[in-house]
Amino acid sequence: MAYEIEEIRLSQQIFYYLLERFELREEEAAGLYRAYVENEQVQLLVKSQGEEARSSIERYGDVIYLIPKEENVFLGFSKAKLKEILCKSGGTDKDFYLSQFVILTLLSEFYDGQGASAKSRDYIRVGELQNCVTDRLKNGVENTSDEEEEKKGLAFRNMQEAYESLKSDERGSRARTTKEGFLHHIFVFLENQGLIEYVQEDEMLKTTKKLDNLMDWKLLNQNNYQRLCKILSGDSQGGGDE
Amino acid sequence: MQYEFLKQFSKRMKHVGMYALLLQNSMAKQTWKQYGFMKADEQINVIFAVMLYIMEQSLREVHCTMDDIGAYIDTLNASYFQKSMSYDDCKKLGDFVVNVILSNEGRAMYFEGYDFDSRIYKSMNISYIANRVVYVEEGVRRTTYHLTEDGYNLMLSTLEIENNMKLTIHEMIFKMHLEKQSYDKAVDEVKNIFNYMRIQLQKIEEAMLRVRRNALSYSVADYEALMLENMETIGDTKEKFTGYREMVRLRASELEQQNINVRKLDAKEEEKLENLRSIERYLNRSLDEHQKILNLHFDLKLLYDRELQSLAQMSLIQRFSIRTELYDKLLEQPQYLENIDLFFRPLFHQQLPKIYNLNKCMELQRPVRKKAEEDTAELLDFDERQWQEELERKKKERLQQYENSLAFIIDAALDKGSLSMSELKRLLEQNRAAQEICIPSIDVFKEIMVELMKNREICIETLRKEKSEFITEQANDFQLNDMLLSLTEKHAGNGKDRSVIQKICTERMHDGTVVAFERVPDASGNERTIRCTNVVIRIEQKKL
Repeated sequence: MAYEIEEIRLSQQIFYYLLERFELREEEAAGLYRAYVENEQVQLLVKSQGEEARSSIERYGDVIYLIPKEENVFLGFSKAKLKEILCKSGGTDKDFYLSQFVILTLLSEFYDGQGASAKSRDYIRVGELQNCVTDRLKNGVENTSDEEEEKKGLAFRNMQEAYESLKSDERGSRARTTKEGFLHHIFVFLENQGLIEYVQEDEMLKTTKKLDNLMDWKLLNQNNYQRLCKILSGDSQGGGDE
Repeated sequence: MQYEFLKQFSKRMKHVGMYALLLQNSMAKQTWKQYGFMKADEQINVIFAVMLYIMEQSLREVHCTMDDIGAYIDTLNASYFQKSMSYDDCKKLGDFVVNVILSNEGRAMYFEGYDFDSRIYKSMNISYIANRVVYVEEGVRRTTYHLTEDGYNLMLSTLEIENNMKLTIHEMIFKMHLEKQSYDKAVDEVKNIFNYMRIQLQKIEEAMLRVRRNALSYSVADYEALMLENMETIGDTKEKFTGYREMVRLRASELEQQNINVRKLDAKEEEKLENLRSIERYLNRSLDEHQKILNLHFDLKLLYDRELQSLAQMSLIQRFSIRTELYDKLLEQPQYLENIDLFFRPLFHQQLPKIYNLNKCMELQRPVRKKAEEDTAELLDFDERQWQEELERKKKERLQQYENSLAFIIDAALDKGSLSMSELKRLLEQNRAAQEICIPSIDVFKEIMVELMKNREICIETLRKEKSEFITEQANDFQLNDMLLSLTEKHAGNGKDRSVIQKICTERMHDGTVVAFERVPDASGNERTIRCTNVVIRIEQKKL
């Protein structure tokens, strides 16, 4: 298939734009957006370039996203890198799993809907989420018996201990040794990633359109489910960690 | 009052009180449960259904006895509510609703609304229904129920005028007030109109937000209603408002003309004029809102179209439930957490590593000193507040120069009653320090002299009067009149009493002499010589 040089140039511009910002909104770069949507060749080129960069390029609504694939630890995060950012230095695996658990809890609070969109609530206050995490950890602990824990090697009991060992601080300390501080750093990370809006003064968490889109179209997509099952059962280790 | 919007608060409270008392009477009554109305919603529905029936009966001027109400409830129950109630039960329920809830067993009901004007709670009597004794056939005495005024108000307010009519109605009232020349009421109405426009605007904004969040939560019916309201609002309001504005302007200018040419307006007319002005202001703002609504109307249309399109695509996706398929499983199988970050990975992006360009080391380096200067300039840029303060400080300094210079000239003139340029020159030659005060730089001195010449004759008393009548913004640059006033009010340091000054006259002397001030600094600090025609400043003192 022959391509015009102009199409190639456009696709390269789009890809570089995406590399810089990870998303391309119609209102911010109307020219590039239109080129992607209206010209099939350009779209093909960008997608194939994304493929080579071990990412997928998707358009949800009026935004084009660059989504790193799981095994892509250059654009995306490896487990070690993620841990570095989310946990305090010298944090253990327990801390890391706890942070993952918090994020998952946040997502499941927001995206429990069954309508045309999975989103089921507008906002959540930090306090409520904190209680949610406590409750869920308790559920988790109650669910597993001691022998099972031995077998599985990873237990909610440990995570609960890690979580409860964090001090509770009413004054909203930002130190990572407090529950509030631990959560605070996770929220700041998510906000920096453009996934949530975190209003510290009001302890308010709202999701962004980006997270809504990614959850609705990608993460909770039935097509993603098989893959998810594989991930969870540990079949796919999904690329090496650094 | 501090908050204008609390003015008619007790009126509003009366309105709210009607609902509040009704609920208060109905809540926590066990009788409901006997008849199977468990939820508060069910109960309230029955109450209003009964009230509507009573209203209907009283409007038709037909008797409304307990039997009628019981029969009505029975019919309703048979075809709609379908609770297991006999006719007798229905009658008892009717009795309960009418006598216990609506009449409070005959005791008077009060609701206390705070009156912000008089700073106390005001008891407001509320009654929904009243009864009277009538003779039905064959001389049998019965009680018949009818709605009171409060009851009517309550029932009528449950079905408000349609939104799109509100604006029209307020506009009609406004027009009437305007024609009757009761401008104070017209101001209230035009405020209402303006508020409606604002509400409409906010409605559209809200709708857009909702559409943007999730177009599904915004129904087509909502959209249609809003669109119709918009059309109604923007329909012919613009021409009308422009028409009103013209009218209001005309009347205001008539009054103003009268004020100038015929006679001074009395207090009432002054108030009218003031009202007219504020009507015009509100009309202007309403017209602005009109324009905004028009723009947003089309934005909303576009947005809704687009969001619906993308939704149509999205609804095709099959999704799994995060709670049951993932979260609950994870709670049972904690080892899933080990790999859960793979699930999140599509969400996160890493900061890309930066590359050092070796060429950077060969870039032309600027001289250090110049760079340092640039750095300080940048610092100032960063701190805007500081920069503003600095500007302010410089302005003040300059203003002080003006004041010192003017004070010097006035004081010198006050000494002898008049001062010509040639005299001033002589004074300055004797005293070099005085020259720096009097002529800090050419443009300061020049501006003062030009202003003095322009004004020719300045009467301090007139200035003072003028100032007390108008509120002007504190200007930050040189204003001769303001400064003169403040100087005459201030006490001179050298024991001169400037308050005796009554008039300052400045005029050119036609003797053809040219006065030259030598070695005077200009704005950039170079020394120059000014040549000017001889001018004399005369000061008239108050006669004591």
